[in-house]
This record gives sequence, C-alpha cells and structure tokens, in this order.
Amino acid sequence: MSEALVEIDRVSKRFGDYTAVTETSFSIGQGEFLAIMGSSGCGKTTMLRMLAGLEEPSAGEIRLEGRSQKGLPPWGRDLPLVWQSLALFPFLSVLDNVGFGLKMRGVAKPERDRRSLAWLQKLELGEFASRNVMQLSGGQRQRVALARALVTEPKVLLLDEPLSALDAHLSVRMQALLRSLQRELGITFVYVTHSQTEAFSMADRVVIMSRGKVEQIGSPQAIYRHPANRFVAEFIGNVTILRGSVAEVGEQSVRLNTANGGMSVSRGNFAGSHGAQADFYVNADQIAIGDEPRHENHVRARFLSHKFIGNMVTLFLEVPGIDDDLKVILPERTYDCLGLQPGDSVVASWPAAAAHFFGGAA
Amino acid sequence: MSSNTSRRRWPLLLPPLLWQLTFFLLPLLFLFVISFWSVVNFRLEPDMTLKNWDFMLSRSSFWSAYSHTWALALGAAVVTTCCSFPAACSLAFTVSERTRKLALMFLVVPFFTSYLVRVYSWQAFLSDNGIVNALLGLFGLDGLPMLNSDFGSLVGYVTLALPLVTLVQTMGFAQIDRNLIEAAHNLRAGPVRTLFEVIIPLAKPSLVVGALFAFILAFGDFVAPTYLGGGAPPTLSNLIIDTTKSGQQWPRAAVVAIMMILTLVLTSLAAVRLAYGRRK
Repeated sequence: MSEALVEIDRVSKRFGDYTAVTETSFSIGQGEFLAIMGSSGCGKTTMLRMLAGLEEPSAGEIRLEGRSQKGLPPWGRDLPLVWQSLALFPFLSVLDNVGFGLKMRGVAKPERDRRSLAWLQKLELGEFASRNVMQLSGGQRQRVALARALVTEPKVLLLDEPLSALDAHLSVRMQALLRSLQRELGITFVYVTHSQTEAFSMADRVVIMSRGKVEQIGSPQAIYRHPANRFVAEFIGNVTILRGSVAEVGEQSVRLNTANGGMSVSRGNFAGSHGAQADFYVNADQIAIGDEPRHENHVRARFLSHKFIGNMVTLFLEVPGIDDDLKVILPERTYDCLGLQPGDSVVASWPAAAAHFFGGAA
Repeated sequence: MSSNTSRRRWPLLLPPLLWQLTFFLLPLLFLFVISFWSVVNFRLEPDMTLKNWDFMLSRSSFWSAYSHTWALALGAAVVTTCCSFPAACSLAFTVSERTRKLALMFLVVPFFTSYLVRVYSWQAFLSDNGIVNALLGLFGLDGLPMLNSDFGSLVGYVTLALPLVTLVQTMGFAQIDRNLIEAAHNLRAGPVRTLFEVIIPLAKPSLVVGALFAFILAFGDFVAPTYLGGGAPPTLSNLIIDTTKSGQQWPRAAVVAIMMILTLVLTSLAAVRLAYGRRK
C-alpha cells in the first residue's frame, strides 16, 4: 500500500439513540481496491455515505489527501458513488446520464458528449447512447452507472453493493471488469458489499465490520488464513473453533488439553500461561481425512454432509465434545476417492501449523 | 381466467356506468342537440339549424370573452402552480411524515366552507374601502383598485385551486426517489441545480396535472369572475348567464358550453401528453 489518500480518523455516526459507526479509524491508499464487508446493519453503507458527504460524522474526521472534509457538502466533494439502486435519471438519455456530472462542472455540451460517448464505447455501450436508460438490461444499466461515475476522472470511486441485483454469471463478469478498470485507471475503489466472493475476488484489502466497528483489516489471504477473532472466523466460515486449557507452552507450539485429547497449536505470539482457557481455530483446507491419523492432532468424527463449491468440497463432520461441525475442505478428486457415506466414521487430523490462536499469527 | 373474473365483476361497474350515462352523457348529448334548436317567442323549438353556431362564432364579443377566459385560466394555472410549489416542496422533503400528514389534512379544511362564502369574504379584503387598502393607508400609501378586476378574479381562482394543487404536487414530490436527489448531489449538483435538473423533471407529471386542475377549475368558474372580477370584461361563464337571461337563448348558451368543453378536452389531452409524453 502506498501513501494514504483517504484517512478515516476516529469516526462515529449516531442516528438518535442508534450508533451506526463507533470510533472507526483506517486509511485507504492511493490506487487501492478496498472492500468494506459485513452483514446488513454493520455500518458499512453509513461509512460510505460519510465518505460521499451524504452523512456528516457525529465525531471524528475524514481527510482526503490530508484535507479535512468536515462541513463539505456532498456537491462540494469529488467522490462519485455507484449506487446499489444505480439511481440513474429516468428522464435523461444514456448519454445525458453519463454527462450529468460534467454538465454540473460546466463542461460545454460538445466536449461533454464526446467524453461521455468515449466512456460508453469503452464499456461497450456506444450504440445505446441515445436510448432511454429504462430500455437497457440490468447489466447495461450497471455499466451506465459506472460510466457516469468515472467520466469525471475522480481519484476515488465509491461503490455501494453495485452487483447485488445481478445474476451470478453477470456478477462474475462485472467483477472482472471492475478489477481490470481499477488497475487500468489506477484510481482508488472503495467497495461496500456483504458478499465474501466479491470482496475476496477483487479487493487488495478487506475491512470487516460488525455492529459499527472494524473487526479486521487485511488482505483477503490474511483474513482467510488468520481471522483476528471469533466473529471474523464465523463470518468467513472456513475454520472450526476449538477450545482447551493450556498444558504446556513450547518454543514453536502450545500444547492444550481439549475435550478430544491433547492438541498442539502454533504458538505465534501467544501470551497465555499454564492452565488458561484458550480458543483456537483449525483451517478447514489443512485437515486430512482417512482411517488412520496422518498428523499429530487427530479426532474421530462422523461424516454428516458435504457441499460443493467450485472444484472444492466442504465436508461437515460431527465430533463429540464440539458444538459446531468440524469443517474440512478437500479437492473434489480427493473427496471422490474417499467414497464417504453419511454416518461413516473417519479420522480427521491436522498438523500444529494448521491450528492458530486468534490474533496470534502476526 | 382473467376474462372470467372480469365477466363476473362487470355488474359491479354498473352503478357508476348508469350514473355517468344518465347524468353526464345524456345531458351532454342533449346540450349538443339543443345547440341546433331555435327560440321562437322566448320558447325553445326543436329545429335543425346552424344559425346559433353562426351567430356565436362570428361575433367578436364571443372570441374576446374566449381569449379573456383562456388568459385568466392560464394565469390562474401559473400563479397557483408557483404558489403551491414551495409549500409542496417543503411538505414533501423537509418536514416529518407526521407533520406532512397533518398538513395534508389541513389542506382539505378549506373545502369545509362553501366556495361562494369564501369568495364573498374576499370582498371584505379587496374592496376599495376594504381591509387591504386600509392597511396600505396606514403606511401612507394610496388605495389600489382590486375588486372588480382581473386581479380579483385571479384571487378567487387561486382560492379555489390552491389546496388541491398543493395536494397533487406534494404527492408527486413525495414519490420522488431520494436516491436520485442524493445522486445529483453526489455528481456535484447543489440544491438549486438539483431542483431544476432533477426534482422538476421528476415531478413534471404532478406539476402539469396540478396546473391542469387549476386551469379547468378557473376556466369554468362563474363565482370568482362575477363577484370578484365584476363580470366585465365577461368570461365565457358570464357569457352563458347573459345569453340565457337575455331572451332565453339556451341554444346559443349551448354553443358556448360546447366550445368550453371542447377547449378543456383538448387542453387536457395536451397536458397529459406534456406530463407523461414519450420519453426518448
């Protein structure tokens, strides 16, 4: 990440008694693709609206290129937003929709039309310029909204769940388009979404929010491998959380007593002492399944069900003494070779390096 | 299935259909028919003559009344639309839902009193020795002639149409997608530009329909031009009264009435076209 373009400094937002965002701070780099992810009501859209100036923070400050945005009305900012509802003007043609921002900046009509048309052509919409926006398909309207926001050449583009109304196929194509556009233009994208697929496939960094607070900021890989806390782990859903009491703190690993016997967990920067209760998690794609244990940590489990995701399979196993199912992710071919039937008894095993304490892996 | 249900439902449509047929379409047809009748010795006689049409339409007094009525109704539409606009805007955008409902309820209150009574009470304000001129006198200003003028008529028309037009406009503004307003702000349109570039185009149907209501109400109104406008120069409604009073000329009055209806039908069609007209 290069220098910070946008700084969010201890920003809070209250609506009456309801606090949407609580003392949140993070910064967004020049040319970065940042996704803000969380379930509905987590404050991600409020965050975006504060960036656009549509809401004023109750406390704290937002800075763009070092300048405080406090008190600046939305029309005094240069942070175009792509709306979830797209918010295209129904009474204007496609071309005039795209040119709206230029018109407000006093760009003369010939120049305005030339630049708008260039953007429409870039997004393969040139032939629709004189149509009404209502005559376009969902995907086409999406691109009109994108062109309208980008035609003014902003430094930062804000996107509020822009793909949520599209079907899966179209969404994947739009993700590729967004990512390549962002690379090509070199501008900063701030992308709000509830979809893990969208966030992880496009973003350089992901901010995970819940109840108005940031739970974790990091690259998709870092969040996937090392969730910072129980909330993130459950939200991403690719690990199983276990609990035990510390028996021995070694150089590389920590030995814990769990309901399923002794287990080794990577030490990281674990600071607990002997006898302390500690939560740890096991990455689902680092667990081996078989008749015999293949790694030092192992449990006997009963196979419950499975779910295909692409060419990977997620297995759900029932383990005595654990409330949640043990999740295991295997390549489809490996799963086929196992020939498992629901109810089958298997041994799940993993190395100490696949298990970590929350916040422990720096 | 849909044709089946519609067949089962059509008896429900019978009462309004009968009502319209008996009390609107048939009288209208009768109006059209008697415009071809004659008056002999102050009595209507069935006939098939074009002389009533010829008499009225060749007369400059008819056409001056026609243009005067048109101008007044257009003025009423413009003035009422402009007066309603700020009120409707703030009711739709700035006040709470509760206040808006309350305000809309109050907009109905003027209809509790007869329009005639409200127009009469304006006389107390507008007459040469009325309240407005008395107030002007307090500031050492000369009194203005307001009663028995086009201004007086306009005051009456606005009294008649303002609550309805404000209601129509408020409903129209309230339906505007707030996202579009925010999108305009986001694309650097300040409040004034957003008003002209986004809110007015979006509210156009309600603005036009509101203005059309004001136009229709003013065009056919007899009370305001008579009691506040003084009846001179006459409007078409004054002309109808004069024609029927002078020599029982019902057929000629029918000609005027048909011309009025025709005008309103054409104006309404044009207005609807303007409001909902083809978008590119």
